[in-house]
Amino acid sequence: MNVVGKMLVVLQLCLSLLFVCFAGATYSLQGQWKEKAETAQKKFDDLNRSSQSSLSEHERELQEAKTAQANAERERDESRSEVAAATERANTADALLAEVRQERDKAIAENLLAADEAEARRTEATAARTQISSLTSTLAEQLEEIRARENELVEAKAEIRSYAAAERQHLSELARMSELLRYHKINPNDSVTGDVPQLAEKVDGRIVDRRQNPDRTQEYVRLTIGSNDGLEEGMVVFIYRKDGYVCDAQILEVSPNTAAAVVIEKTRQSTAVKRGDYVTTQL
Amino acid sequence: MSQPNSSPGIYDGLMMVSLGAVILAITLLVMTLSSYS
Repeated sequence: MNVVGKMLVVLQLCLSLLFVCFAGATYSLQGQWKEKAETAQKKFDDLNRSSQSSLSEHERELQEAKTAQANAERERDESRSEVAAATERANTADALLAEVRQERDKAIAENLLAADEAEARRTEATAARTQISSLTSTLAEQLEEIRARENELVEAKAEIRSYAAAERQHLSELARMSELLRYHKINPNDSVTGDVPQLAEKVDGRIVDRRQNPDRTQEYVRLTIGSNDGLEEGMVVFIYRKDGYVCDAQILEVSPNTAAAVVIEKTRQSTAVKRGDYVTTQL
Repeated sequence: MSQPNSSPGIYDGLMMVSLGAVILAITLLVMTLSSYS
């Protein structure tokens, strides 16, 4: 055997020993490797189960999240609808508020007008009070004047009573004078010859009858006053009624209590003489 | 013709040892692999 063969034999021996060592180590350590592999497999299974459970948990949570999302979307839609309704109600409320404000402004304006009117009424009331005060003072003055007039009336009545007494005295004097004329054989009823004097006193009477001549050119009337009242033939009396003057008449015939007269046509007004018209000797 | 050798039996023994070592190693490997089957 040459040197190369020897070296190869030695190399073969070394490699064989190394191979034996490797195989022995492998055989002696393979149990630990198996335990580690089983442990790792167990861990892998545990992890796989945990991952499966986690996955199912995740899916369940995902489902719950989807359900919650759907609920949230439904609530969101409901909230949107509620917001829309609330917005519409707010718009309606705004419109009502605007109307109420408008009515409030209108009421304020009316109140202002009423206040102005009340102020005007107050001013008018003040003026009326002032006028009432002045009228009250005027009334007091007029009452004073009425009292003065009443006093004057009382005085006038007293004066009338004195005049009546004087008239009675004059009538008694007239009777005495008539007795004196009869004593001297003079009829007091006889007319005085010569010019007929006009009556000095005013005498009033009425028309009791009226007649016309056949030609209807003259109208005759009979009076309620006569010579006892101072009428004389030829005297002119005035005929009137309430609505005014009618005409003049001239006395034609006189008796103690009545007299006859003829209407002076030229003085006749448009109306005719009637029964009941007034007659006077002085207007 | 063989050459004269000072110790021809040593190398044969070494070769036998090597062979035995290989056989042992293969046996151990087969036993190891058989446990994973």
